[in-house]
Amino acid sequence: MSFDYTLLLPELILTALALVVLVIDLSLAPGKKQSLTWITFAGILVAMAGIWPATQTSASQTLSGMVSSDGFSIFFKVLFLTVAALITLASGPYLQQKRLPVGEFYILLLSATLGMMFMSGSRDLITIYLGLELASITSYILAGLLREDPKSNEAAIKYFLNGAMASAVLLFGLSLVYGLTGETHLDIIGKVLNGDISHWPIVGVALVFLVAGFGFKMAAAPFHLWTPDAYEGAPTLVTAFFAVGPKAGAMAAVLRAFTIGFAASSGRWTELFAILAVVSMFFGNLTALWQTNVKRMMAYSSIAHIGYLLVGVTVATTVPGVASVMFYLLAYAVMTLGAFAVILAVDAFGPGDQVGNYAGLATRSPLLAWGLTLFFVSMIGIPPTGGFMGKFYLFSAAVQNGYVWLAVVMAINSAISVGYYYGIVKEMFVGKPLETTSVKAPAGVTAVVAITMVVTLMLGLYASPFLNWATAAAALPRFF
Amino acid sequence: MTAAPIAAYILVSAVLFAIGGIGVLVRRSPLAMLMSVEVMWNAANLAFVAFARQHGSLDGHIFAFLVITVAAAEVAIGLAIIVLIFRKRATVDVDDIRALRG
Amino acid sequence: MSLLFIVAAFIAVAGAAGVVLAKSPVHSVLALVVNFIALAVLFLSLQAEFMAVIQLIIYAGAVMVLFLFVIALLTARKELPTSPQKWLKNQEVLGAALGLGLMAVLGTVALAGRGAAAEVPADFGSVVAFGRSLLTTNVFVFELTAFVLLVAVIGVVILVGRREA
Repeated sequence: MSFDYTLLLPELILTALALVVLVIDLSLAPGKKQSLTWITFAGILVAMAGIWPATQTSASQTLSGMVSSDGFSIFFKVLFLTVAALITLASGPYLQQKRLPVGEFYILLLSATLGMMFMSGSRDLITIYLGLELASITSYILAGLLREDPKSNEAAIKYFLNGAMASAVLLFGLSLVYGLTGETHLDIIGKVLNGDISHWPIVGVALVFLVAGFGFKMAAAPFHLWTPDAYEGAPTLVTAFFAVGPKAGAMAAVLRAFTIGFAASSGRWTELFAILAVVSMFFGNLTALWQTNVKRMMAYSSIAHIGYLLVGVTVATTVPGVASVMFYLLAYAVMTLGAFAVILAVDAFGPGDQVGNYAGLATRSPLLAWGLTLFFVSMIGIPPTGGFMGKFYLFSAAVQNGYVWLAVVMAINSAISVGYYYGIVKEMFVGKPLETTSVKAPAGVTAVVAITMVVTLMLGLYASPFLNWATAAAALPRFF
Repeated sequence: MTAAPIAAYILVSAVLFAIGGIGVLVRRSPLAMLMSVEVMWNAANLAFVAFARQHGSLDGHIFAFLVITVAAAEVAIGLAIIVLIFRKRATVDVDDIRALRG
Repeated sequence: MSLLFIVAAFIAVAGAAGVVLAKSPVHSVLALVVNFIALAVLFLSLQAEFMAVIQLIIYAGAVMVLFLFVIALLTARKELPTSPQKWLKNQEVLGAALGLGLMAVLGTVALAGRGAAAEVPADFGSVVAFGRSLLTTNVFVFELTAFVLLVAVIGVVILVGRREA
């Protein structure tokens, strides 16, 4: 039994921060809660600094081996904390304008981040499940925060019912795995299942349940039914978080659980993920073509991006496969947050969230328009952006492992996606604006747009340090 | 000795899970759907407890205990959302929620 | 196979079917309680004493009261409309077909339990044994659940509680 708390420092700081925010929130008068934004932001930076001691010790597992703090989980912790920090940076004026409860929003954001961090570090089915539930429960609440808005109510109930059913499916899969092996620890599960083919038919059923359960959580088609409604109805700031956080968390859990626990049956689950990848890519991109609401379009676009990521998961039995997924997640997180920062500015501080509302944005607010163009260019996968490098690595990882057809499908889909991204870019640069005043984006939102623009370009032009980091991290959790 | 072979318990658990699944797919009232999900969670719990007995390890009990706790939290949130919606309306039918296009 | 198991399993399945088939939400809740109690009996027959107690206290106690309370709250002013049947037809056929397919697949699942049950000490599943495992090896997980419950409390308050401007 080993409880090494330095390995859990970021999680502990985050928990403490949530409780501190809870108490300070009570002592502040309504309408005077701007300071909470900066307390949360500073706290997240402290939590990020708290990762440092963990990189200095040789020990990597704690809590009776349930949670590990290796390079893989550190990569994801940095990613999740960055996402939380950027969301916090953009949040202040938006929360005020929509009259959302400020303190509670930050507590929920921090709790969801905590859950995702546990998911990325888990080596045990119990902690994977708990981390996932913590992230899910907070997500249901966040989706329904605009309680006077029927769309937000509907987003919450649909997300909740679909999510609860997904949890049940996942849980049943986990119970089968436990039944086969008598263990909840991934390393031991991997050893027990290794080489014993008598388990096969039940392992197959368990795999289907687990893939379906995780597929729901990361919104891969055909388990995506809740996504468009949840994205459109939830407050835009929350949608930005949904598009990145829970998906990356589920992806981290999938990478670790399947490559360690089910290494022996990798021939089977890679096939399942290949099917999900193809369906998600085609469904997401083709449906996005018909959308007139930008948040809804981004929902379908995010389904397509999960499809691209799943191409990498299909070859996750190799180090380049895992590394390419991690690198693309990084690029995806940055460009998606940037795009949503622009969408948030246009939605809450400008005309609205329909495609038509973007008419003439280039003359009204050039920074926002150029920013969104850059993010879309990156999402399509055109150099010199992070999205291009990410897709390039996914592509080459797939080709190296004999999935040429999957790589071709990915290329075709990138071409399809030009259709809907171009529609908005055209509106921004060619469309006639109804008003000529500039969109009054708050400083925090503008800062997020600027930061993500720089990082998107950096990931495109100086990709190798980031890729080396991802490769080093991906090499750690393997056992084959 | 257990009252029946472990396989019989797992079979009951599988049947309960399927009934719950049918309920979620067929019923349109959020309350009934939530209760059907409860049945599914409980089916998983029965499997955990039965497997724990089979392997003679308490991990399954711990897991089922956590599931019960988390399910209680989840039910509270779900019912809160249902109350939030239906305080304003008369109907408790998912298909009547049509602010968003399906 | 003992009579106890057969009766409890039958009641559990009947309760679950009742949840799905009952038209009125109150009847569904009552069927769910029956299902929970039958499950608690099954837990007892598996030497999971503590789990059986927890099942009764949390599910049959707290969760059910919560459900009934919400139903009472929602139907206090108006009768809940019963769903019209006409548009349900296809969904029911589809759902039942899917469910039957699912059950066929899950039949194979019972294979997972084909091994004989292990010999266990007499105090297996007792409060003492369970508590020792929960509060030593799994204590941090236990703390994490506490945090999940805290988040749920906060969530309920901001979703339906009174909110000052």
